[in-house]
Amino acid sequence: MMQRLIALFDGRPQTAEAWLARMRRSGVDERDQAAFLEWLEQDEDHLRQYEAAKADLASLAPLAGAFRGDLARLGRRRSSDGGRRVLIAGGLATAVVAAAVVVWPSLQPDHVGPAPRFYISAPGQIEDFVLDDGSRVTLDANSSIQVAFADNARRVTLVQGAAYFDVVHNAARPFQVAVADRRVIVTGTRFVAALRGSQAEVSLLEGRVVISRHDVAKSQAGDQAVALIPGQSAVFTSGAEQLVLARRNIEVATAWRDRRLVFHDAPLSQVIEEVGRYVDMPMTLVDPRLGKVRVTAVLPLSGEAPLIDRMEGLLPIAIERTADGRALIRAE
Amino acid sequence: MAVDRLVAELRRDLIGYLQRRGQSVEDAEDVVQEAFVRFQRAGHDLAGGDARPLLFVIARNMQTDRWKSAGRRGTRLADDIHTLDAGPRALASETPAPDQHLIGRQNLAAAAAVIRALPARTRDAFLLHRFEDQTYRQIASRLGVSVSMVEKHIAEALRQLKISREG
Repeated sequence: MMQRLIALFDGRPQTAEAWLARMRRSGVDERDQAAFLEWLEQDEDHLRQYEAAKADLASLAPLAGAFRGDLARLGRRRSSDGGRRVLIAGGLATAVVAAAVVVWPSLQPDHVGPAPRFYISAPGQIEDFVLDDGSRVTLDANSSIQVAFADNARRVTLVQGAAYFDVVHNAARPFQVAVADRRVIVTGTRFVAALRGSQAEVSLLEGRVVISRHDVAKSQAGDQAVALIPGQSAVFTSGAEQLVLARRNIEVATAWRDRRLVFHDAPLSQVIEEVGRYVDMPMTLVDPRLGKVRVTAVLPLSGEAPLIDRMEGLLPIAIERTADGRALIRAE
Repeated sequence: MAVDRLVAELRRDLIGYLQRRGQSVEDAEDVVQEAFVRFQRAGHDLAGGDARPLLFVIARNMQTDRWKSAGRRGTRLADDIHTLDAGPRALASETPAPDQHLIGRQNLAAAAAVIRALPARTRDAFLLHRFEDQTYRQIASRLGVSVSMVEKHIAEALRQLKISREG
């Protein structure tokens, strides 16, 4: 059901340009080839349109020189952001618009070492960072992590929000993410950690992680540690003994990484809450009963119209903007 | 060689396909031969992910054309005689027809402006793919986004280029 829904929104390409983009993937599978053939056969003109788009792309070759500067810039910076993000390191202060890396005096109880850095994303902005070891982090909107790499361990603390980690393998220098009062310990893997209020959740996409109550450098780190397998999520609350393992639809839990939110039979109140992370306007459900309405939807986070307008188009709601900058949500 | 094996496999499948559509083996072989020529002339690449579907639709169109022209003025064997013996490899070096270059020199500047005006990420993904021949996976890792997101960026860039071309 979910897969079908995603396919519907993600969709098969509908135009020659979209098909060309699909066919330029390095591994085009048989299903895509069959769908492409189907599209070519739909209309006699489709082949011509496709070949025109392809020839267009080929004829851009003389422009390589014109973009040499941009390509050099992309080569220098491992993570590109179109110049919006400014990294602050070593106490060098700079103005920041959407996201920031801030060096903080060391406050971490677990370790002594170099001063930690803070990586912060603004409300409404999903941000990508590359850490010093090459591991990649995507921060969900309004999230922050603290990073402190020492020789024996790479330590990260999820301060708030959610973060996706693609960790470069290094068994000699394990990677640890502190989430609430637990430590997620890995050597190389892909996973998402989220901290919403007091509820923490760790979802494993690939590899293996161990969730411990102790720092990775401590000898008791393995005591009562819980291992996750790919596709599994662990949900826990700071201070509570219980940790619940669940097989979750990881696609849904981590959809924000692909700049979309996926809701599967979720109450509208949850939808409003999650969308609220990406909208800089407080949203109020006028009728609390509306919050109980269950919704299944895929909501793209990027697009031309403001998110709040697109939400109104997709969901059975009407939105009224008040003079003081709030959004009142009613049943349609 | 990998390309030879690929060609042999494609030929076999295409001939089988045309036969199922009611063509004799000999005619099917001719059509497939022509299809390869047409494919190469259009600037397509046998190693591309789109090669197989394109060859199928090109071969089918050619079969249809043949049937039409056979109805009107007999077969066009004379047109085919020079390409019958040359394998697709021999034709691979043929230069694409000049009319393929839809973006003329005067429009290249306009295309450059369109690319510059793209959203930062879309532009970066497009530049890396078009001018540095990076795969989607490499671009995804460079920009810290998913492969399907890279595809969306490339599609968006192509869409904008098309809009400007059709002005």
